[in-house]
Amino acid sequence: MNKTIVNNSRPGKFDFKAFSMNYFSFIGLVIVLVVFELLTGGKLLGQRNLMNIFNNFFSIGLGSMGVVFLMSLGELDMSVGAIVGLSAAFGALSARTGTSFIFPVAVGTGLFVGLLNGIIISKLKVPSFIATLAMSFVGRGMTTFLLNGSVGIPVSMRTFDNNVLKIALFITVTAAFYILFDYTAYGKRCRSIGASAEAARQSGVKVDRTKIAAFAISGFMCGLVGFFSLVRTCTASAKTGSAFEFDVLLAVLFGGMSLSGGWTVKFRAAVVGSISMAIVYNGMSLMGINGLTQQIVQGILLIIIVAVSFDRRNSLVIK
Amino acid sequence: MQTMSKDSLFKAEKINKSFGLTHALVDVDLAVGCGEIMGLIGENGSGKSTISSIAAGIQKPDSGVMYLDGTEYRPGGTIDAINHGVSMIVQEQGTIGLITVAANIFVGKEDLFTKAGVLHAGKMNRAAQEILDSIGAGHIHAKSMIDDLTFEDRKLVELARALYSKPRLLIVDETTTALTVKGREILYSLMTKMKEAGSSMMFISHDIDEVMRICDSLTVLRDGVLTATLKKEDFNIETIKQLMIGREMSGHYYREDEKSSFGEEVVLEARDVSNEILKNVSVKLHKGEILGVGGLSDCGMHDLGKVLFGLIAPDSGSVLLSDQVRVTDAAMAVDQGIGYVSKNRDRESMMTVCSIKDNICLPSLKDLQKIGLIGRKKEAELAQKWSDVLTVKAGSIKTFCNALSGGNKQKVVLAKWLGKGSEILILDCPTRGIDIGTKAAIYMLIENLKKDGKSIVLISEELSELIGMSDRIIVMKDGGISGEYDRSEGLTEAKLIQNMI
Amino acid sequence: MKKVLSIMLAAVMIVGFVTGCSAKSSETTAKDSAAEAATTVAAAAAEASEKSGDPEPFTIGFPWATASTDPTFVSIVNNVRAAVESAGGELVLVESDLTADTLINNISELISRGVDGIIFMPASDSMLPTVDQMCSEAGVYYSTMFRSINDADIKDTIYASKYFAGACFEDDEICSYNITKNLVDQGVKNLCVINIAKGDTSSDLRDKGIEKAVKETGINLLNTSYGITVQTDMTKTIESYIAAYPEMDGILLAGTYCDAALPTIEKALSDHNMAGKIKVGRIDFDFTMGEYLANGSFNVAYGGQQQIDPMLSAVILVNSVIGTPIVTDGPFILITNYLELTSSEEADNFLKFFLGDDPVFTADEIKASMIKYYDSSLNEDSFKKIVADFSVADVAARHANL
Repeated sequence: MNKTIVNNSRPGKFDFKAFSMNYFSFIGLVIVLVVFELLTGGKLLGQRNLMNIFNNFFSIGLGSMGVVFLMSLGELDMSVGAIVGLSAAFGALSARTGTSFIFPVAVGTGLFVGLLNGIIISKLKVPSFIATLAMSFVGRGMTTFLLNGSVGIPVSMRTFDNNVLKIALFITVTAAFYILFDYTAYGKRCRSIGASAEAARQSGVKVDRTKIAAFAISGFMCGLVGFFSLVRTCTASAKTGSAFEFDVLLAVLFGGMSLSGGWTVKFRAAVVGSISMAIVYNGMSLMGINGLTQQIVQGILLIIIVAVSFDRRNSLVIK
Repeated sequence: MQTMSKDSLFKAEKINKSFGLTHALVDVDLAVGCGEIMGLIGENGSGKSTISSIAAGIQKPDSGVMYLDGTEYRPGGTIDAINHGVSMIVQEQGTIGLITVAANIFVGKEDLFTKAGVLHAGKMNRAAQEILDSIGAGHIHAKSMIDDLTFEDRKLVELARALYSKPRLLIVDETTTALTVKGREILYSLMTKMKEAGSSMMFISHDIDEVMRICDSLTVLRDGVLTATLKKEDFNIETIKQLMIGREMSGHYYREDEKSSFGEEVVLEARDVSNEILKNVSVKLHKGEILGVGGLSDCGMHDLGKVLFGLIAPDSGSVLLSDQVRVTDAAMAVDQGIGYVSKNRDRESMMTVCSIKDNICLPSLKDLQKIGLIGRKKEAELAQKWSDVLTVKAGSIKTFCNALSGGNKQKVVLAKWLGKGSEILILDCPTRGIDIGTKAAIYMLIENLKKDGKSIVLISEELSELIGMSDRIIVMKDGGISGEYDRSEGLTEAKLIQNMI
Repeated sequence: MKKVLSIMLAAVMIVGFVTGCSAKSSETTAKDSAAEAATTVAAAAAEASEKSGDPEPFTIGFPWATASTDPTFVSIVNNVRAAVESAGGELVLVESDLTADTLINNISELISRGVDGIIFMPASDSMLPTVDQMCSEAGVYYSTMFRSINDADIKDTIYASKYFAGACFEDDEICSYNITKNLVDQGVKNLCVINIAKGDTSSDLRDKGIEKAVKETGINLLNTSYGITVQTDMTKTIESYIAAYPEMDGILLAGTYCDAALPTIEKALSDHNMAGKIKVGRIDFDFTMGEYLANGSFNVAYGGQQQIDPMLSAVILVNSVIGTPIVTDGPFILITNYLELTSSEEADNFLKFFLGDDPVFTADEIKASMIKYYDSSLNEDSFKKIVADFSVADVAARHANL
């Protein structure tokens, strides 16, 4: 078929708009880095401060990567904070039997609750926002009840709060999840369901199983975060993990993740978003900005980012 | 060239429109006379929907002028166009959900029934019912919620809405594909009435028979260029087809052979299947057979397709494969080599906000993986191969499917199953809303698949299609099978319709 | 292009972290030797027993809820600042929600920012060993405010630590015992209590004191609620008490993190026409007491230590940081008293002098009477006297002309 094609673009011209849309999250990161480096008079990228930034985004980063799968399905997990708290609680309690139990119990708790979430959402067809919100209430209640204040674990466990270990773990998880998301059938199935659950089903995808697995992954990561929180502070309290779900949600939105899921979701949104957010938090702290102003700044940044990243919908229609 | 008659109601001169690199309309001149029904036909991508949307105020042309009744016509938007007397009804859903029928009809004109800020719903309902009765759609109640209506009835509500504004030019854009025989009759009679009252219509459709029947003149577009205008007396089906495609329609459209041919082996069977709609249906599909399934739209044939694919579990009875293995769900069916093309293309058989490549590779993910990983190259190879075999016209396999025309989308859906190597295909209305060139290609494809030994269930509301392609036809009525015919006997529409009603 | 960018970014991150990790250890040793050097210099100066100029500038880190506008919270910052600036130091504030996790992160951050000392309010006993480990590794002194240590093992570990400068706290048990007796003397026979949170050291001790008084006097302790942080929950709790216990004649607000707790309680009571009929007492003063004392709907408050406690904790820390610790063979544990307040004039004075812009002791006053660098005769007894002489009237007198 011969169409009269008018060549509008100059050959070799750098399509700035497309580039900025695709690499939106990286550009955001660079901007945030530069801005805060300047505002803090160079302290931001000081050697010791870099470790502080890392500790900030370690938990949020793991949590964000955990939710990437279920978010690409188009679901939400509002219970991540509660799972972190519950995992830390069970982990701390199991320390009485023996410190070698802490890790498996914490991670196991997270995995179990994640599975529960997945089953309620896929089999009972409860919308994920409501189901996970309800789960978070249950989880928090249980945590408060179990701990009756706070419970400590032996200080010897602090050896696990080792920076090299954490960096290595973070890099490993990032690499593994990236591969899982982009290069395996599972990751593609998640995105297909996010694009159109019915179309995916009619192409032979086991929708329920995929969903349950996604929530299980999230729960597992929360368990991991709970464990590291526990060994860092050697305390589990009813407040452990509080508001974590908002930190994670903010981080992925900072990274430009689309809330409706599907094929436009990029894995990098989770990682880059967490780093950007950690830099913002840390930078504001270094600048001595008080708590109230910090919240306002966060809110404004969020609005800007969402407004910019939400016109990234590929909705060309050529009749 | 066009005859520029002074009494043309609507005139478009040298309209150009481009979308990025694609020049959709090239210097198009068009005229519709008073009281004339002008048919606008062309393959997908020919530009007919573009020109009609420009006339209806949905888009603005890049260059060119339009005239309405001799004065320049430059609509600022759809409402502006409606106020000038140009209304349009479309193929997709044009009604607004979650409100009543009456509210839909009077959308934007609620002020007529508002006094001191209060909307008099009763008055609005009565007025709406009058309109519905007058167009012969009195079975629709103005008070009902639009979501409770069938798709066809919703279309009729849309029609009522468009007619209410007493348009001087009504544009009907591929609306009839969504209507049943009854709905179409309502539409035709309305159009005739409007014509008698002096209004004009621009009628866009793929159905050449329909167009030849009701249009006074025909304009053919191809690749954004006006290729011909025909007056009613010159209507000839072969000429028209040729003008649309621009080449000889070589050979046949449907199958040429007149005998049914298929193997002994039963590859897929529904045994005594029942659910809300189906009543003890038993069907056998043989190897290398094209099994047609026809009937009125709510006879249960669409459900049968879903049951055979495992999408719906029957309340009783079972669906079996050749080795007596039960089909339990869609995922298992796909693994066993069954493919399904739903009649609801955009919502069910493909992911629209997604690339061609990812759509094609989806059922084959397991086959593509090596030690659990799927290489980008392998995916691209598979997708490119089958996209080429089916001649999907797109920039690249990375193009998102919402940019494709209906015909190309369907090609992607078929490519998906061919890529998977499915031996059994269940096709539900596969050529609905598709241009004639692609239709021919699909028929050829189906025939080739049969020759390769694949088995096909062809569910369709188009009788000529069923007659032309099937080895056997099963007619359904009210959830049960009312007749079965073999190709060798010689199939006619009359025979089939007997069993349908 | 995509790949190059990501690899570059990853490389930059890794290089940064690795250098960050290795840099840490070298800085620690530098810090240790600096601290030692400072001590020797200061010791020499003290021997000479002369004011030899001013101490080296220093920074104290303080994780606190800086987002709160509650006057009590703000006055705590003012008092800490006065103590720090009295010896020429700088206060570094970090926003915190005061939970164990956040405090640990705050402290870690402050350490890497190179502060010389850290003052904070511990969320639990179990977080202290972690803090001690971090601070000891970095050679940073720390002190705590408002809390004592309940767990015997942890207490031993912390008290033995070189970097634990000391702590200031009140005897919560005696305080709550006294206030309960006070309410009983005013005629209360059926008491409901609102307390901070189970597991919080102060909260647990206050529970103990209440129980002791209740047992002694034989009145009924109807119910205790914990963990209220928002006003709507406070209102609901009071209303539930009113509904469930018609015999209730006393409410003791033993402690809470809820903002504007007293007005919320008073409003709930007056909405149900119970104001004045139920005796209300609270531990910890606040700025709304005056009006309720005046109209008789509020009866007794024990508190007033919310300014002196943090100030003295900071003073203890500052003295250690500049090399003149008050107590040289261990931490300095100072117990402050709760003041009793029953009249609206006292409440007004409290408002003016405790919750105003000035701390209860100005930086100059602190410099003159509490910094051992300038007055080497200071010792434990001097501070005990300061505590004993402290009262609302005392501050009013000293600051009348400010």
